[in-house]
Amino acid sequence: MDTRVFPFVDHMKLLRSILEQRPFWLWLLAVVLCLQCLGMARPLLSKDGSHVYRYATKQVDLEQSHEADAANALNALISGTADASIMTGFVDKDPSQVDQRRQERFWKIDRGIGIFLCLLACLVIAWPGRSRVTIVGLVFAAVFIVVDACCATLIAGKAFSDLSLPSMATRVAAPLGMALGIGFTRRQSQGSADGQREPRNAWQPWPKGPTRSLDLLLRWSLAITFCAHGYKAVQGHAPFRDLISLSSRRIGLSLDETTISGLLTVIGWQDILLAITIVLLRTRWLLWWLGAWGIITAFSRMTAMGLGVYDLTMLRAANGGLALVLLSFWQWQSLQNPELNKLETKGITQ
Amino acid sequence: MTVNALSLVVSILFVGCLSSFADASRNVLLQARSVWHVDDDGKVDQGWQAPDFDHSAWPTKTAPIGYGKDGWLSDRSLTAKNSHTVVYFRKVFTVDDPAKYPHAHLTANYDDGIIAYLNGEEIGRSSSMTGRKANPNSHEGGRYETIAKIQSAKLRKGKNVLAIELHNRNMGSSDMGLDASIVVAPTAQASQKTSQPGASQHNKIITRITPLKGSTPAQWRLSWKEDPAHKATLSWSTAKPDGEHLIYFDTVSHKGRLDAYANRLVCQLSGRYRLSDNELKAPADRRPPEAYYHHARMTELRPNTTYYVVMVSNAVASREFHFKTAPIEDVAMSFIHGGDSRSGITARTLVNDMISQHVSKFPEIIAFIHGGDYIGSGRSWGQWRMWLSQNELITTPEGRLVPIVPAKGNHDGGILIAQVFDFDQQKQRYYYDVSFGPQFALVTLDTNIAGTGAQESYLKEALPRLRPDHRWLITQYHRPLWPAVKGVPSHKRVFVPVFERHNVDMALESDGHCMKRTVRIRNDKADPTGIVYLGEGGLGVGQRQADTSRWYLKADAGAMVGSAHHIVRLDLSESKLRSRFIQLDGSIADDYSQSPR
Repeated sequence: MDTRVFPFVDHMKLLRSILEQRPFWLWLLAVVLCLQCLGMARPLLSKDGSHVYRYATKQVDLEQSHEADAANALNALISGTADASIMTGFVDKDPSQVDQRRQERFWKIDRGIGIFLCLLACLVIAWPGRSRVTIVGLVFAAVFIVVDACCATLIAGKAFSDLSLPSMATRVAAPLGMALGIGFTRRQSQGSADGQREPRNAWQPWPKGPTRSLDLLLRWSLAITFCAHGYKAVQGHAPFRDLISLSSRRIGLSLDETTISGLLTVIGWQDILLAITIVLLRTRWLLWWLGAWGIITAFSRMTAMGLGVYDLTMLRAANGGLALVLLSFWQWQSLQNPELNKLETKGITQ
Repeated sequence: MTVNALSLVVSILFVGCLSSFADASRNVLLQARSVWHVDDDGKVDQGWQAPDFDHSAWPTKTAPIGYGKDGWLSDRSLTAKNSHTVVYFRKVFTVDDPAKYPHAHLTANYDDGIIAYLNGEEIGRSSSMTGRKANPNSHEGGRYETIAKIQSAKLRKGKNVLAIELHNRNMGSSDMGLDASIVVAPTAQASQKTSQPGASQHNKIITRITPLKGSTPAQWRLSWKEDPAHKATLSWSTAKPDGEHLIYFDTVSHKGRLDAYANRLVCQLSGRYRLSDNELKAPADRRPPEAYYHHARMTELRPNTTYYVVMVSNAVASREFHFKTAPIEDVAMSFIHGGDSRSGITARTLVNDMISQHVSKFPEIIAFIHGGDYIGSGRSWGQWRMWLSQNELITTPEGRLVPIVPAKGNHDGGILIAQVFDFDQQKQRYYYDVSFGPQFALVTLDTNIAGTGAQESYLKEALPRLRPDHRWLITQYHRPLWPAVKGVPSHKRVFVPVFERHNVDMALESDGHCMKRTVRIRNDKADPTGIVYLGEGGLGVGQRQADTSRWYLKADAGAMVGSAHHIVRLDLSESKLRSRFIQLDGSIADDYSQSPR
C-alpha cells in the first residue's frame, strides 16, 4: 500500500530538489527569520506599534507643542528670570485637540512595514530563487531592526533600555546572514564560465571571505546578545524574575525570591561565559547548548504568560536559532573542508 | 553621548517625515534653519552691523552653520579652525507691524559665544560672552536658548537686519556653530487670530507658579502613602539649603501669623535633589540649578478635618494653605485619577488647572491618584523641577492643597521620585495601601519590579485584609494589565488572579496614553461580576489611538475608548461607584456606574 500523502508526488525527489536549492543551514536560517519576521510584524499590525512609531509620534507631539522652546521659557519663569508673558507664544493650539491624522500617518507606515515583514517571511521560505528582491528586503529589515532598537533606547522608560541594540544583535544578524547566504549562493549558481545558467547547487564550496564573514557575524551576534541578556540577569532584571517564577509554577514549583535571585545570577554568568566562549572557541557542544538555551528562554515567554504572547517567542527565534544555524553552517563547511574538523577537535577557533 | 548619537541617527531618518508635518512658521519672525549671509574670512568689515551695510559679497549658507563633528550642524563649511575666532552673520527679515510683537525673543543655538545686533544696535549676548570682548567661555551647542528679549520699538516696519558675531573660545577649538531665530509671543489681539482659547487661559494660569529662588518655599505637594485620616507629608523645595525648614499648622486659619498656630513641626528630612549623570557632566550654564527638598511628616492629625499650614524655610514663609484629612466614617467621597504627565508642557498646565478648578468646585474630592510617568526621564532633575513647579497649579485658588497618592511609572526610574514624594530612599518600595474609612481602600502597585516575589506576597496579604472592611476596593499601577494600546506585561498573570479572587472593584491603569474603560472582566472573559480596568493616562502626554479590535474594548459590549487629555473623576458612595472621564473642555467622555458587590 502506498502510504504517501500525495501518491502522485515523489516525496524524496521533491525534498531533494528543495534541499538542493540551498544548503540546510540556509533553510534553517530562513525558518528562523520567517518566525522572527512574523513575531515582529504582529505588534506593527496592531495599535501597539514599533518603537520607531512610538518615537516618531512622540517627536511629532513635541514638534506640535513647541515643547523644547516652551520648556526653556518655563524654566526661565521658574527661575524668576522672566515673567509669564514669555510663555504666551508657545500655546498656539488647543492641546486637547489631538491631531489623530498625523498619528494615523505614522501608524500606516508602521503597518506597511508589518505587511512587508510578513511578505519577507513568505519570500525567504517560498521563493528561494528571487534573490535580488529578497536581499534588498533583508537588508531593509536589518536596518529597521537597528532603528527600532535605537528608538527603544531613546524612548527609554524601561530598565536597561540602553541595552536594546545589543540585546537585539541576533535579530539584526538573522536577515543580514540570510542576505549574505542568498547572495553568495546566487553568485555561485550564476557564475558559470560560458554564461550559461547552471542548475543551482547548494553544495558548492564558498570562497573563504564570505564564509568567514558569515561565521563572524553569527558568532559575534550570539555573543553580544547573550552578553547583554547575561548582564541583565546578573542585575536581577525584574521581567526575568517573573519569567522564572511563572514558568516554574507550570511544573508545580514554587520558587522563593532568594532562589530566583540565585538562579538569575547563575544564568547571567552562564550567558556571559557562553558569550565569551563562542567568540574564542569553535566547539559544537557549545552551540547545542546555546541553541537549546536560546529556545528555552524564548519559550519562557509563553510558559510564563500564556500562549497569547506567541509573538514574543517568535520574535526571539534567532536567539537559539542562530546557534543551530551556525552549527549547521560549520557542518556544511566541514563537509567542504575536512581540515576544519581537525581544528575543532583541538578546540581552536578558525 | 550614546543617546545623542542615537538621536542623531533617528533624527536623520525622520527628518523628512517631521519636516513635512511641522508647522514652524507660527509665532516666529525669523525661523531657525534660515539662509544667512556669512563672512568667514577672518577680517571684520567696517560697519558690518549696520542695517544698510551691503552684504551681497558674503556667501550664503543655511543654518545651523559651523565646523566640527557636532550633530546639530547642517553646514560644516566654516574655515575658522586654526585661522580666526570670529565669524560674522547677517540676516534680513521683514516685519509687517512692530506693534504687534511686544514679546519677541531672540533664541540661538551656538558654540561658543555670540553678540547680536538688531538694526545696528546690540540687543544681547550669550552668557558665555558677558563681560568679554572676545574669547568666550566654552559653550556647547545643541539646544536653543533665549538670548534677549526684543522690544517692539527696536523692530522696524518692513526690512530689519539681525547681525550676529559668533566667537570661538580659541582658534584650535574642535567646533563652532550658530543658528538663531526670533520667536514671538503675540499680543492678545494677535493671539485671537492665531491661537485657541487655551493661550490666554494658559498665560493667566502660569503666573501662579512660584519662582524657585532663594529660600522661598516653592513646588509644594502633599502626599498620602498611609493612613490619610491621621497622617500626611507636606513637601516643598527651595533653591538654597540654608536655615531651618519647618511648618506651622492648626485647625483654624491664622492668615499666616506664625505665632498663632498651635503646631510647629521641623522637617524630618531635607536634602539636595540628585542631578543625573548627564546633568552633572553638562556645562554650568546648561545644568539645572540645584535645589533642596524638605519633608514635614505630620502625624496624629484629626480625621476629616481641615488643617491650615504655612511652610517656612530660613525664616521665609509661604502663604497659608489648607488641606483636609480623610474621613474615617462611612461617607461619600470623590477622587481624581490620572497618569502620564511626562510631556506636553502646555497641556500639563491646563490639566493641572482643570484639577484645581474641579477641586475648588467640588470639595468632596479628597485626593489625586496619580498613576505615574510624571516626567520623561526619572533621573533628570531638570524635568522634575518643571513638573514640580507646574504641580503647584493643582492647588486651588483658595489655597487648598490636593493630596497626591503616587504610583511609580516606567519613566520614573532613579532616586528622584523617592525624594519628591518622600518614599524610603533606601528601600524604594513603591507598593502600599491607603484606607479611606470603610468606604474605600486603594492599593498601589509597582509594575516596574517583578510582579512575583515580595510584591505578590504583599498583594496576597493586603487584599484579603482590606476587602472585608471596605465597600470599594480599587487598585492602581502604571502598566495596564488589559492594555488598549500596548502588549501585555507579565504582571497580568500574577495580579489578575489575585484581584479576581478578592473581588477588586476597579483597577486604575496608565501608560497607554488614551482613554479606556474595559468591560467587566473575570476569567479572561466578559462577566458582570468582573473587574473594570480603567485608564490609561492623559495628564499632558500626547494621546494615542486605542486598538478597538481587542475584545474587552468593544463598544457594543459596553466598553469605551478615546483619545484626549483627561482626568478621571471617581465618586464613591454607599450605592454606587461612578467614574467619569472629563476632558479639557469640561465635556464628559464617559460616565459609568456600578453597584457594590
